Amino acid sequence: MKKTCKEIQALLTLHLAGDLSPVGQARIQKHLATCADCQAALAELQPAFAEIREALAAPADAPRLSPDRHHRILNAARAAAAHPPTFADRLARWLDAGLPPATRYLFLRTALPVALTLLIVIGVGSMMLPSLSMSHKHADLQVVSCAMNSAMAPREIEKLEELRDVRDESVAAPEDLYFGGIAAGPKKKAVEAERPRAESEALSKASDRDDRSYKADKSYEVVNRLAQPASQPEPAAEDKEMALGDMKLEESAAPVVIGGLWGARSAGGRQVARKDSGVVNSPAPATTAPAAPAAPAAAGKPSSTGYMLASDKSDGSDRSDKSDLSDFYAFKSGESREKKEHDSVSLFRAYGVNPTVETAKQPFSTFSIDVDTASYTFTRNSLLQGRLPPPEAVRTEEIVNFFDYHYSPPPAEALFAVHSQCAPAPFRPGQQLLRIGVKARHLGREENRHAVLTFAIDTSGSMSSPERLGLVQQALRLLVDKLSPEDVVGLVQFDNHARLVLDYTRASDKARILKAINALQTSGSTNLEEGMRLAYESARRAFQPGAGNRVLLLSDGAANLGSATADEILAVVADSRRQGIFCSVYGVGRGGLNDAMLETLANKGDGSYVYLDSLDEARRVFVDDLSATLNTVAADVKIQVEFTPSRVEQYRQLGYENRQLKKEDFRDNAIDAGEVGSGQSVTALYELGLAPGSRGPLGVVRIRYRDLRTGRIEEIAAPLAESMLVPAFDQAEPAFQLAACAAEWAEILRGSPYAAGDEASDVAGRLRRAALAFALDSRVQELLRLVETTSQLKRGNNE
Amino acid sequence: MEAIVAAHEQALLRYAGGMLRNPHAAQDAVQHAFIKLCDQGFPVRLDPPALKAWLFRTVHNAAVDLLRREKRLNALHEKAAADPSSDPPAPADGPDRRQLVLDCLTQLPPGEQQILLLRLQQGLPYKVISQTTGLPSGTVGRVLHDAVKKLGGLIKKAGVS
Repeated sequence: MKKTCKEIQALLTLHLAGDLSPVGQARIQKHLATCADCQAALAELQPAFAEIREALAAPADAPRLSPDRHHRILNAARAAAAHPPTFADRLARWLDAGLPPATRYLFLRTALPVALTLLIVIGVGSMMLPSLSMSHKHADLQVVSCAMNSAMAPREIEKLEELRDVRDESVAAPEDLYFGGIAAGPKKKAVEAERPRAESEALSKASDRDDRSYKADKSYEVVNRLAQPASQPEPAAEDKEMALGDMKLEESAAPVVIGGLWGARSAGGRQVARKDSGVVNSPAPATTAPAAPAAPAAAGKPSSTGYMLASDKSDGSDRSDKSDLSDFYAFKSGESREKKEHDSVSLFRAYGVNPTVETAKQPFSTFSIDVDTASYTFTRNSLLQGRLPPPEAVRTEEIVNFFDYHYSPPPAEALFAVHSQCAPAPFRPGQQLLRIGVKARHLGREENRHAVLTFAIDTSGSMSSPERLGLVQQALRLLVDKLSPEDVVGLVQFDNHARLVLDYTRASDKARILKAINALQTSGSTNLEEGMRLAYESARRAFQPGAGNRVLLLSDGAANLGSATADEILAVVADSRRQGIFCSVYGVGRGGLNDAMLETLANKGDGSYVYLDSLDEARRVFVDDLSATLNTVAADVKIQVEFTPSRVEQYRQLGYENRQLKKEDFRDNAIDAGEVGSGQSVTALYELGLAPGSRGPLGVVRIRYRDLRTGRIEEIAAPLAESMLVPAFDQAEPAFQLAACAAEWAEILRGSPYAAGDEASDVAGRLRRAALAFALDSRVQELLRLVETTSQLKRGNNE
Repeated sequence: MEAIVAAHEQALLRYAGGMLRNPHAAQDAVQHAFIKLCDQGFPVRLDPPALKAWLFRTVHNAAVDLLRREKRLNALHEKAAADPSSDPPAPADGPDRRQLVLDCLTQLPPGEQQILLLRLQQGLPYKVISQTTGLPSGTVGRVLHDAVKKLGGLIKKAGVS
């Protein structure tokens, strides 16, 4: 056999697996065409390989860990969070595994011997110093050993302390003399550094007297001094430093470093504990407080903020190996660890909280409409499982917009109606709460366009559980039942690869669609990019002008093959999108839900984002509100509120942080904005500081949108008249009170600094009264229960 | 933590199942890996490739440990019972054929099993595999090829006998 043949044959498996570079692939094909031997080898290998691949890749029955094992793991996690590993643990592990081999070698071979040599040299040097008496030396060694003891074995020190206590009475006076100022701060360091010397002189005197017991007492006292701070790490380090300083140790930097780390660790530990308890109403919650000042910048340009996506490399968690050391130290602080965990696991993006704006500086508040409700259902799901949701999962506008405020529909032929009301803000004394409700027209039956629906269904391994694919299938069955006969349905399934499993079929052929839905099976990874690409391609092929063309993505968003950011995926499908294909995104499953990506996908893909946490929610979306879901009446809907500076001194919008637009974007028709379905309503809330004693209208609300019936851009305006002002919150309409409560609840849950110190129980009190008017609305009754749950959860955590 | 478990448990269980052929043992191995992750206070950076590599490596080591222990126990049992080995498996097709492949897989050395499973069952990229195994990616390819060839031979032998 020739040498090339040998080489080629060694690569045949990779050739079959498709793992070679295009160049290598071409080279092999070229060779195969000419070499019979290698062809034979390939022919021999191929069936075996195919069989192995099939056997391995075949969908195993997707096992999960049994519940008791889950339980054990979570217990371990909790225990680990309660007792973060000690510095010594981390150092040992770091030496063991954390370092790249080369660095470890360097450390063990160089740093340790150097340190040891230094220690010996210093030890010998101090022995040589003639000015020190023998006993002084003795005391120094005691001090050193005590310093070590204090770090290593607090228990032994306690024993010594007990001994000391016994002897206390006999030698009280000299102790007072020498240790009167122990509690002195760092300023007295120099003075204190002298003290051990004085003490050692006393010791030498004692030894002159050959009073052994007295000497022992003194060393116990030193032990005690060092042991005291063992429970308070920072002072301990300082004391050690002092003790060592007396030894003429010039390298006093070393103990300082230890002390610093120690302090950092204990601070970090506290941080973790606080975060774990989920206390979001602490005065400045760690997650939101730093984001708040950055909010205007982030809100002004949402697309430029970093994603909290696992695959995103720009967030600094992907550091080069060189910085391993700094990484290790960074790990010491619990906060950075926590942050990393958030970055890679929870996959929510924090947008901060809208700041208060001075009307004189910026009278315009411009934002894109948002009919998503995912945040509410996700929050509900969290609370029903007995946990507070992560603050960044709570988007105030999505929680407010979940409810039906029964705004009266617009008059004939108008597309939108604006319902504004303003009353004293119940949770912000001295401020007014402005509600702007926008209601879209409900299309009549004859106006409904028929729908061309392309479902993109994630059937990766992560979807294989009843609350994921199972829920998706149930939801689709409900939906198919509600479709009108002339609607058309296609089904794209994607895992490692995407495929069209059901070519476009009329909804009248229900049996065939249901069969395709029931046949869905999970396996493999999530190639969301390919799935979306194929779905849009298919939708473009099946495109019917005048119909509601829509891609519906159902996924847990845990994309791990192909490019995985929403922007990249949308770049791929940009052309189809401009053609007028809408996109609805339905998220399922909790663990690994990539909320940030799904939300952006829906936002940029001209559609809405809904989180399906239960069959009830699926029923609401696919049965009750199907008309709104499928019949978009207006696209690129933007709202601009212009406040009168003489009337409104300052304002703050609640929510819509990631939908903010610049003032000039309002009339820029190229700017993408939200879509509104038939009969849908959107509510925006502002907290206002009114100028005292002023009268007149508060401002103007403008809505700009593309009417999908005519394709024309239109703009309407409605004044914020004086007449909408209500003197007391209790006199405002129930819908107003409901929206105020929902928003305040969201603000508390997401740890908004403006709601710091507010209690969910206060919200529950207000809501209980408002909910009386919604006795038949199960959503409102549910909200009341959730708010009550929240106040209990928080109380539980505070204890 | 819950999210980490949910995101990885299925892949890890399939992996461990491939090596151990015993669902309970596989669950043990995966549980062990997750608990180790907690106990060590997250010794690995939590970005997915590194975490995945760490988890697969830990599950692999746990599985190898379990196999060793099992082998020792089996040796004891066999000595005690002097039990002749079970009937040779009948040649089969369909799902049994798949079973056969999986049975043969357990006869490979653990290192080759590991790479076969990581590449063909889990579909991991070479970079992650080399992070998991500590082998350069060129070597991963070579081992993969050897493993496929060897496994092909084993299957043929088992299929014929």
